[in-house]
Amino acid sequence: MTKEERKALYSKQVDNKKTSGNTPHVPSTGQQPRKQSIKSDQAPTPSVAQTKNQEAKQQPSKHQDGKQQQPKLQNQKQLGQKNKVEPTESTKQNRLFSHLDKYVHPDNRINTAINDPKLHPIIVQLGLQYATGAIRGGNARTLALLIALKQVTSDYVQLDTEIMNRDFGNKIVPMIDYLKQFRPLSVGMGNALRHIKQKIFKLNPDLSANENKNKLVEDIDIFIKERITVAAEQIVNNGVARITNGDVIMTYARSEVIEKILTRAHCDGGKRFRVIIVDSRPKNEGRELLNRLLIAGVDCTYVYINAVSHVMKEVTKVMIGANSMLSNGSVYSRIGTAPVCMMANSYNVPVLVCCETYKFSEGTQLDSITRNELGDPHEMCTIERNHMKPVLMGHESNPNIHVLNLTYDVTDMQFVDMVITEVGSIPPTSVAVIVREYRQK
Amino acid sequence: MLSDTVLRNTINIFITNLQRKQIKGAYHIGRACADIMRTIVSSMTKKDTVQQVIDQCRLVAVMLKQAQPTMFVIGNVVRRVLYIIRDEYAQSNSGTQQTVSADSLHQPNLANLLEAKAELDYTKPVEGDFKANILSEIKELISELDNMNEGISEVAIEHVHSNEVILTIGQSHTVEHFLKVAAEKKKKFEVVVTEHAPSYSGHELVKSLSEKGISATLISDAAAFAIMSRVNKVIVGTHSVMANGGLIAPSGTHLVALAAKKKSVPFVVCCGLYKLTPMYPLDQDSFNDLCNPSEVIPPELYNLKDAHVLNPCYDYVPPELIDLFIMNETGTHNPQYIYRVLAEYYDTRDYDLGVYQD
Repeated sequence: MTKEERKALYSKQVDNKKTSGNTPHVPSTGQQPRKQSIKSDQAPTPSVAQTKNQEAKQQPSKHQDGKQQQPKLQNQKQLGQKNKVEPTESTKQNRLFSHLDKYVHPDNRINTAINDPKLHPIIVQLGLQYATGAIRGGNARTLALLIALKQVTSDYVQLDTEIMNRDFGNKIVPMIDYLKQFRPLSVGMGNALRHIKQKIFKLNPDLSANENKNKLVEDIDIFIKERITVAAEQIVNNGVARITNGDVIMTYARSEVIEKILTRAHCDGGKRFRVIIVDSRPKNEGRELLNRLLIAGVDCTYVYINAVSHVMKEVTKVMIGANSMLSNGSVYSRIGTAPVCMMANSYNVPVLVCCETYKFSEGTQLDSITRNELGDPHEMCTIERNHMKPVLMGHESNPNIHVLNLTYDVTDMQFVDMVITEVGSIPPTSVAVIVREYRQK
Repeated sequence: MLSDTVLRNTINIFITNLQRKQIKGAYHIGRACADIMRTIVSSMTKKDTVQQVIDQCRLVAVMLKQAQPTMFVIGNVVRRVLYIIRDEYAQSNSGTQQTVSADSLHQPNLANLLEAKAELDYTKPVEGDFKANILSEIKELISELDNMNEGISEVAIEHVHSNEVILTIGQSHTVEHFLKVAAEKKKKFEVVVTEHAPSYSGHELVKSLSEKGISATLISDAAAFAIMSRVNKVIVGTHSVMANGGLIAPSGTHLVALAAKKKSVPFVVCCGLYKLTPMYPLDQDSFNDLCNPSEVIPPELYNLKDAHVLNPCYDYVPPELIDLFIMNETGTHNPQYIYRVLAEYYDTRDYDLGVYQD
């Protein structure tokens, strides 16, 4: 559903609530967080519901006073308060996932702190891009973060009273916190940040600010090159080498590095193989991959994840990307990766995971529930087929309906046969070893 | 019998509906099929022999099956009717001939392998209240179909306890009925429903359950594995139960069954007895059908000229992934026992109904 549609739907609901006539709509951004907090486990307690109604009635009356600008400001203020109140309301969330951060639509987060003097404009911009999904995918998000940090570094002005390695380190913290509220940092981003923070800490206070800034920018550039761009390039080379003529490669959704491997193997490597793209709702990311591979001239089959066992018989290799590798050998990746790998494993089809080492995590996870990210439940309710009615639209009012849109899952080590990295192809058991190597550096 | 124009018209209309998939749902098709069988039997005259009735039924079954080859329910209902006819005939002849006891079930075993079997002579015209008996038996079969869900729910309820999390795939009317009955019995549980793209029947189920006050959570098909570690039981419906105890079930069932096995979650199948099919599937392609690919990806979205888009209707689920079958009439069984249930309700001679010939 597009933003416009969602807004239209929402304003319709607001209309229904309104008791007094046709005043202009309250900007949807103001009320949406409340609406979403209702969608939760138990019915809202009567007192909360009452106060909501009162607010809804009050707002139109403010419009009637003729103060056109004020309601918006008012809204922002209220929003700020509401964001603070939210944790108490989130107890109504689905019992199974009450430990995860509740999904809040980006529209409702954007107006916080746009003019905050602590934030560099490029960080504000980046936050919005993360929130709307304009920048997504592990590498893209990390690259964007690092490039933004480079900009922040070059724009840094050092006061005579301050020492850069302490002052600059402190200045970055609120910016990272700001970014975190739109989407949790990925493991790769966390690793990159840790690396940069170390570099900041090691800056020489005796040097001039300019020299230090140049040094830091250089360090960031080295990280980007060594750990991300060249690493990705190396993985693509390693991956292409794994594809042989006559292969049927299955991949899940869309991973940038897999796309590069497949197109390069077809165009430059001149290898003859077929690709089966498995995809799933609600994001349907695989469609973009399908489109690009078709343009490149690769022979493609597209199926939904439900059909994965139907097509698995002919598959010779499964290649997937990963959001991160956990140090117990599990793969943390977009939701649906685990069932595809499990099915491949049961058909004795090898599973190859492509992952840069900067995404290797020291953490471990036993199941997909302990740590995860909740996506937009509205995405799940939409149905693309024209003649079908999306029956769950507006389910927020029903306390018995929950819609769960998980973003990641954890693939057990037993389903993975090989991890292709820039330092070579390793078994998943060796992830911990690589993590250790880099820590010692 | 088939010379009856009214009957012929009914059959033709039914076939057209089947071909156009205008009649949907295994229950409705099975029910319509039973009605046709009843009409065939009731139109038999004094001159007709039992063999003729059996042949007529088989002929109609083959015609109907041709219209929708993967709709196993048609064959199954006909097999049940044929079993009724054979059994009734054997009983009515028990005075004159050596009985073919119902227990031996016409299956060769070590005890009777070498004995000469007395075959019943089916070429004699029917006598007495033979026809009336069959009709009343068929009536019972129809009422069994009508009350199937109640029977299943009665048994299934023992298998749910309070505060359980139950996962189900899409919408199966049998499972839906059972969950509602369980909720009425004051059991408190949570249901997680996979949406089952591209049919999206899961959305309907969530809505329908929530109206009965059951807490239901919709997840995407891809999330079934992730959520499995929180699930206590998987309860699903199926398209049919095969002779080896495996399933031909809506696509995606294999994935969930495998995930349940990996996480050691019991995988329970609820279905009517009429879904029991005496055929052996080998792999995913044995009995399958492809649905409309435009349901998976709208053709106008990209230039899909060179792409293959597959939308299979069914999955084969091997028996080792299934923990329990809950059926009406026969109760609960594990998949290894299914062959025996088959022998109790069908005659081995009717396992193969023949092929359609123009």
